[in-house]
Amino acid sequence: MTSPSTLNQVPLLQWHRVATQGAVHPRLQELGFLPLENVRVLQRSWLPGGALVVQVGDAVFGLRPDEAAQIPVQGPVQ
Amino acid sequence: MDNDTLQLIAVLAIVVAAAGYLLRRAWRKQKGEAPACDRCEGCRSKCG
Amino acid sequence: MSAAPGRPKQARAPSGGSDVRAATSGGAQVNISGLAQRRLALLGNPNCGKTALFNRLTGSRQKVGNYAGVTVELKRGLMKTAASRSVTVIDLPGTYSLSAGSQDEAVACGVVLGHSLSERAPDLTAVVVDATRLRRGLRLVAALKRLQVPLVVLLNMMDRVRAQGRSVDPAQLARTLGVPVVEATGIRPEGTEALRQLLDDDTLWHKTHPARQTPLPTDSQTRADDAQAQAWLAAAGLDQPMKEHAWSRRLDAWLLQPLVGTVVLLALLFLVFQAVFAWAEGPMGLIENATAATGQWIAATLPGGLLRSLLVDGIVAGVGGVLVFLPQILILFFFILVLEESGYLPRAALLLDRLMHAIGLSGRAFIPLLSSFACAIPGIMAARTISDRRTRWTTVFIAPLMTCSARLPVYALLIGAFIPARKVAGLSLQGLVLFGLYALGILSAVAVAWVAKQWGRARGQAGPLMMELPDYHWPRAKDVAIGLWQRALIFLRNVGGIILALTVILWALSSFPVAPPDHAGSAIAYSLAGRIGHALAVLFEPVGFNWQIAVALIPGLAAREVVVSALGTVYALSQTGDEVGTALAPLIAADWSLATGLSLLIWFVFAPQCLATLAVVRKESGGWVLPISMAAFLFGLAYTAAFITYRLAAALGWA
Repeated sequence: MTSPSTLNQVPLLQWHRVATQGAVHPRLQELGFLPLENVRVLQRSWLPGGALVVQVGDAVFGLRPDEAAQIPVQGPVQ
Repeated sequence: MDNDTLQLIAVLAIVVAAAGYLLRRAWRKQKGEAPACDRCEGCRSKCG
Repeated sequence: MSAAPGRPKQARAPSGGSDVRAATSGGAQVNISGLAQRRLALLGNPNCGKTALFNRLTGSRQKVGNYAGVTVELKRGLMKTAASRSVTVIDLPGTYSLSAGSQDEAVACGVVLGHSLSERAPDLTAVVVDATRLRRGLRLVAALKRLQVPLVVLLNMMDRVRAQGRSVDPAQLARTLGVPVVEATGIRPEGTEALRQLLDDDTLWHKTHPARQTPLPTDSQTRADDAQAQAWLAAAGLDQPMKEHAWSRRLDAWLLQPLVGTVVLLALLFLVFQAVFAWAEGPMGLIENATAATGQWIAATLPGGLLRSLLVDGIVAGVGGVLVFLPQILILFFFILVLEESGYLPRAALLLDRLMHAIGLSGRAFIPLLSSFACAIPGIMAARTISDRRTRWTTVFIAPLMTCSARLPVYALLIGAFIPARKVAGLSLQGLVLFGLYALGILSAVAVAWVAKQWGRARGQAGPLMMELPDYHWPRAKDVAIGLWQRALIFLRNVGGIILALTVILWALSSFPVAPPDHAGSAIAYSLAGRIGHALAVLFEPVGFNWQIAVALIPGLAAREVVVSALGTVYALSQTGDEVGTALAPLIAADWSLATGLSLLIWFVFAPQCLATLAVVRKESGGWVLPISMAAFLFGLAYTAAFITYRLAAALGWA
């Protein structure tokens, strides 16, 4: 049984869904990181600790790694 | 009236007008009717 | 029986009142609650256009009051259906879910579920859903449906959906949800037609109400709602993962790459400063010629005397001196606008986030700070969006150090006078120096922020990043043109207003008292301004400012560009002989040493900002402490920096 990973751990360009418990930070919810929403990482920074480019639904955001780590995700979607 | 006096009157009128303009602006700002920034009168939406 | 409501004024209703009274313009009182029996509530997420819809439905027939015991607004109004029946409309506060997270949410849920003390449960609840944020709206619909609240769904923002090239079919969605769904929008008059027709369907109005005192949803119920929303989206074919915008991804692959992206950013900035000098030469020459010609014409037409002096030495020399920099200002704004419109700025914010984090700021602060390149004030006000208090005030404090566009005429004047128009490695030396001045401002802002971080509590909270990255798109020429036109108008209005007025006053102070004929030296030294200037010059002697500069700095407190027009007037009045309309730059270059010019340049990087900025800071912070400490700090910084510059330059033999 694989434990649900967080958004900053998912492989590049692979669609996932936000886990059912959702993101804790209210602002993340406001931005659209809702339970079961489609989400994927579009780009990573070459520098460690650099921001990620993330697509959630139809919007694209830049998130810090620690912010992305607050978003639990479940299994790849296809 | 000779030229010099005419010019003096014209100048005083302009100077008083300028001073009046500045004072009125300052007073309106105190009352809050004019935006505090002189620049943003055109971008009211940005200034809030 | 429907009421014929008058035009009620928006008055505060007594709280807890179920007998809402509307005052007509004739003074008679009409009870609008009992007469219109059907009650519709508008529920929805915050920022989904609900209020515009409410206003469109009810027009002026609204009343605002309070819910019992809390400070949440209660808005009720009256609308007419397509068949002209009256329906009471209640605009509920925005809510994301039924979990009653905030007071607003608690009130909205309370009303809909029937346990509010201020408002009976509505007969029908219309959930306003933003069609670009369907999932969020559908979660709410799912929760309400589970509780058997009588519902209709209103799809708002459909124009945005269509603009994105997608479509949402209300009829299909209605079939999927099992609830009536119509489009509605508050921004066009016909946007409420579908709703008005729907409300005439009597079958909607005879549904049972939900059980009273429904408890707050449990976790498993919330998850069930989420799953239901997901199922609906999937059934309606709206759950597809969206394709990415190809060009944006390709560009971001490079523009967000740390090395390449930073190089591109710096190159862009370089380009801007080069352009400000290179592109402006032609237009500036035109304006200079026009100014000189005007001055000469007036001098030839009017007999000598005070009026001629006011017009030529005061107005033409002063105002013309500032007007000549309009092309450069417009070029700078052109680039700012293009960068904004293209969608590039959030990328820059992302690139700079790590750096800004190191000095205690979030990358989000970059955009308000960039606005400071134009004017510190929108930047200071945009800082309101920064939630972390310490970050916000640090941003406000350092915003004036990021050069404001009003400094540009001063920089341009001094660079034009003292920096030779040579090329260094293919780049204009003047452009390089200008870039250097802005860089100095930024570096000092960084230093200040870093110091502030050390002093502050070591919470390390720099505020979140969470920056939206819109798709890149070509800036629309029309929007850029409009933006530039507005900027030009603002500049001209300032010139015609405050700069003109201050120049006139300064001229007056520089011409009176009139020097007696046997007075040695220039007439202006005898005047009030001259005397003040000489007195102040003592204070500024260590930094190499002469009395003319000292005089010009005073009106410069009101608006920085006025320093240029003030210098123009002062020097015009100091000229003897018939040279009229000589440009200011050569006069300064002849009169000042290089050291003085450099010292003044550096002074302006740090100089206390204009009174308007201080006033805004006072208003935003609600006190005098912050603006006064800012002004004092910047004055000290400017003086020290100018001192160092002057002494260094003097040591190099440039004094």
